[in-house]
Amino acid sequence: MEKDNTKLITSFVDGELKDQSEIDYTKNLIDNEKDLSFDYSTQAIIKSIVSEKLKMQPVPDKIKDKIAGKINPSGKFFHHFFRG
Amino acid sequence: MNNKVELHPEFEKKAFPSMEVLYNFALRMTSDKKDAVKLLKETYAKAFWFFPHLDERISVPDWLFRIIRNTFISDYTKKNEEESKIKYEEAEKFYLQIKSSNPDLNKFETEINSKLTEDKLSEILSNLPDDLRLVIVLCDIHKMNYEETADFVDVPLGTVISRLIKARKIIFTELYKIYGKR
Repeated sequence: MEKDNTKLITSFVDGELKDQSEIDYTKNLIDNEKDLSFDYSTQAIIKSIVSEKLKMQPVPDKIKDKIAGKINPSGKFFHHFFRG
Repeated sequence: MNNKVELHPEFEKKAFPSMEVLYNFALRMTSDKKDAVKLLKETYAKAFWFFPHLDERISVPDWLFRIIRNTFISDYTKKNEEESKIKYEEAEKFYLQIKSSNPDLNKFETEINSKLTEDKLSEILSNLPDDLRLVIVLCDIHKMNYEETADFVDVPLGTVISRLIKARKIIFTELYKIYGKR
């Protein structure tokens, strides 16, 4: 049961719970169960820190050019992958 | 349309808008810029090669994402199951110790918000077992929901949640070793 509650908390952290009664039940667990409250806090912290610190990076132009330039069936790139 | 030279502009038009998403996936999964670029190049090379045979009803971004996933799995996965298991068990044990010590999580959060660098977090992410890193990358960086993630990884939805729990526990304990005892 505790394992299922942890999964419920994870789903709550990820915004995956859609049913209001499930949301209310989970909030109640977080407010009243010390262990589960800790699990909620740690998961929320990690989710937030990963999302904030590891943002999507643009592809450097040099790499874009390299790939665009090499997608050419007569070029060395294709020779290397498919014939070499 | 069988000539690849003629296909080039169409391929570029349909496949290149996904490059940023694919590059970031490669970057987070390989944890190395050179490997990420290599993986990206391999993905585009394979995609270009098979593009003439692609069913028009298939979404090109989804197809590209599957190519990069399969290429990563076949060429870049290094850690074996046993290694992964030991790492999680150690983290779980330490997690329970931290929990029982009733730490100040607000202070910990403030500390990591101000001091944790992207490089350090990337390093921790790179030390996760591949299956756990994949769900974190998809859910927390690429913002996929559980259903999309389960479909992409080809596992049941419950497995996605279990892997997220394990991955976040490992990341938390690794961060706590550095920022939790100050």
